[in-house]
Amino acid sequence: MPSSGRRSRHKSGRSLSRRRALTALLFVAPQVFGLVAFTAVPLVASLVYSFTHWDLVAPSPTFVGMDNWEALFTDDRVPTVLWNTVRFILVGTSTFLVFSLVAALLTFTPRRMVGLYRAAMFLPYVLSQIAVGVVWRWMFNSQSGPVTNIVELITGQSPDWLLDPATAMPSIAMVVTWQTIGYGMTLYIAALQGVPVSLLEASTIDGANRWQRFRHVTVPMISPTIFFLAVTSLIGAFQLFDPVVAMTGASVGSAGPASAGGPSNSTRTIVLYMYNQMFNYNERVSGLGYAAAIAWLLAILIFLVTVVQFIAGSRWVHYEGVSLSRGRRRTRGRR
Amino acid sequence: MRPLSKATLTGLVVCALTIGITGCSGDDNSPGDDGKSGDAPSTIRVMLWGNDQDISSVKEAAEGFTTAHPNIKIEWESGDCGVDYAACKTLVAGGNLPDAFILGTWSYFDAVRDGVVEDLTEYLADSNTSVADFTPKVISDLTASDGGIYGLPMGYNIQSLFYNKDLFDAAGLAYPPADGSYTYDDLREWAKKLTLDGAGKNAAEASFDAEDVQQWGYFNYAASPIPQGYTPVLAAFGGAILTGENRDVCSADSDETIAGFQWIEDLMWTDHTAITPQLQQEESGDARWIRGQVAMQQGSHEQVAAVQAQSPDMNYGIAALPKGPAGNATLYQAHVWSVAKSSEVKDAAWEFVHYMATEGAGKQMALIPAYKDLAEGEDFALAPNEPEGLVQAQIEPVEWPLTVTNTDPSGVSAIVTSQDGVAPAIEDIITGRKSAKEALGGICASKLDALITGSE
Repeated sequence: MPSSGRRSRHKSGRSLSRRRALTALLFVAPQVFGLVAFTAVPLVASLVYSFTHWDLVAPSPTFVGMDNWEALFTDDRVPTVLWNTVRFILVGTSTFLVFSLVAALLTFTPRRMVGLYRAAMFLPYVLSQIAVGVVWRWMFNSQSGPVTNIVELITGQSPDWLLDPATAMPSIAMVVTWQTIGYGMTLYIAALQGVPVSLLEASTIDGANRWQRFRHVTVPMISPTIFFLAVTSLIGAFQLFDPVVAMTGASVGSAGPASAGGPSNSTRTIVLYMYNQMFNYNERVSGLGYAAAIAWLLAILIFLVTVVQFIAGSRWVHYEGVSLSRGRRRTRGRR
Repeated sequence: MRPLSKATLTGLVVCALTIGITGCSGDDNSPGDDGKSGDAPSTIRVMLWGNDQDISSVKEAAEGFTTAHPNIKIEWESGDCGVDYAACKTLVAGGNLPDAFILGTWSYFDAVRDGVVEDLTEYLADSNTSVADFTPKVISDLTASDGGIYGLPMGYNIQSLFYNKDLFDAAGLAYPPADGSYTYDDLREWAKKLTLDGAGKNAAEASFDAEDVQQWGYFNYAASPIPQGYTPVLAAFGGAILTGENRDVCSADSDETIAGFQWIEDLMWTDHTAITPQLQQEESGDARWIRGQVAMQQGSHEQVAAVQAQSPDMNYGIAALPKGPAGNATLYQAHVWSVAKSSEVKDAAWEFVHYMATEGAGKQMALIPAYKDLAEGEDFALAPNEPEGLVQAQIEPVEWPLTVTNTDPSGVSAIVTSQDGVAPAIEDIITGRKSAKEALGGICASKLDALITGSE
């Protein structure tokens, strides 16, 4: 009975593949459940809420159609908080990318106690942003703050870091860079370790100096990491909240986020404004619905900026043998 | 605007609510239940906030309640509901509001307006407790527009002048009268004589070096800037940020308000006798006062506890705040025991808040009890650890006609005092960037009136 045997083998094969599929499904189920329950559903829910008004205390939301979205596009405070966010991104993201790379280059070569240096650089990353903000608030005090003292020693001036609208946001950006530099450094070190020594040696033989080797070999080889850090740090920068509250909110009383964002509204970011509208204000539109609309505006902006980054990245990001732009394999030797 | 029931939301939203909300709520606190618990054993959930000392003080005060009511068990929780109304909102949305919690005068009317707290008027009548037993001004300020009282005061703190007697003696100055029978001009002159530079010259002398101040005359929390600091000064000058019965009329650019802020700015930047925001960033003025670096500070009864903890031998006194052009004025803020409307054990929760506001008063969160019998007696004002003149400086001023509290019946205060409102102008004043007139002139019409209208 060869045909029956084939059927039996075929059936048992199908049963095996079903069992395997079921096993695979069971393995991924917790992750999928988490993704659906805690990401996808809240994402859709927030979109639905953006068409409602709810102060959290009423028994249920009230459908208000496009009211929140209309209010969002006529709210003259939104451009201000967006501009503040962009100012933070311009300073914070660029300094993070550059200084993390510098830190990685300085600690990349194995030498005595380099592990200690790396650990010290990484340590701030595991600290609470609020705790870091409180400490740096004091570091920036214009009377005897260590940062002020150093600048005063060099320039003879003692800036009012967090009290001056011109310097408050750059000060916050510096703190965030200081705190996250260890994270960027760690990823850069991993990328630098992946740069083939043979390429560096070949370029040396070709007559490239140290800068040329870095510019034309190292940077292209670590460009995927630079790209990854640029995308993720920019997304994080759009969501700036804790450091602003810790460094500019009232240091006493219960004001917290309600009082943060100064001086002269210069550090209020879009997420802080979203919080204010969600919890602090009693304007006609204030509440979960308007906050959800702001959150969606933020999500759309992040998406658009990320798309732009990917398009721009296609010009300078080089995956090993694969161009980001065309997605097809290249042979490095032919270039 | 038609109400949108949960059933009409999309399936995914229902899933979100099911997974995200019911998981942590336990829908066992349905509003509308009268929650009569009788004498049956019951458990009440009580939420506390504050520092460790505050929380221990409340728990210690509640020991008498536990002895008197062995059938009521207390489950303590820590959280920000009350100190920050946002935290109450999230608990309400999750159906997880505790049975009893502490509101502040600043958050009380938010909770009343949202129907989050129980009207205690009937409970008061049933327990034969008279509101006349409490400080009248506090009860009056907690009475809602419907005549209901939605919480009983745990106590209050009030702004007074705390001064270092040794520094006054060294400057050859008489102590400020405890009853506030002096003026803001007097205070300014004292501040000059009490501010010393490195060479020991005071700020009234021509050779005084403002760049080398070693001892300051005055500190006010306006340097932070927080309303508890500047509000009493503005009130004494006849001004305010918001006025009217519902605190929804802009008065931030009145001549009186501008004069009050200018007085503060002058002490910081003309006389160099007051702690500036820059100095405040380095170390808070109240800590400097305890260390003897500041001679006078506007502060509340919390300072008494701070001195006892940090510098028990400090030689200090307290006086009621001075008289301004409009008269004597100050600001008090009360902490208010409230019962959640959604509680299923309201009777037990009422018994608890009633005890804590009456027999248990005077021991919690370093506050002055609003329960009058306790406030002026040996259990509080005349207790050995309290400074002399407490009754004149901190209890009697509550009833001054110009004394204000920080209730917010109309719900506009947060936005008006925020970065969208008057905060940038106040920052300009206290950092000396602009005069009070330049910073505040016309601000009601140009900015604040629209915020008030948009919030009502």
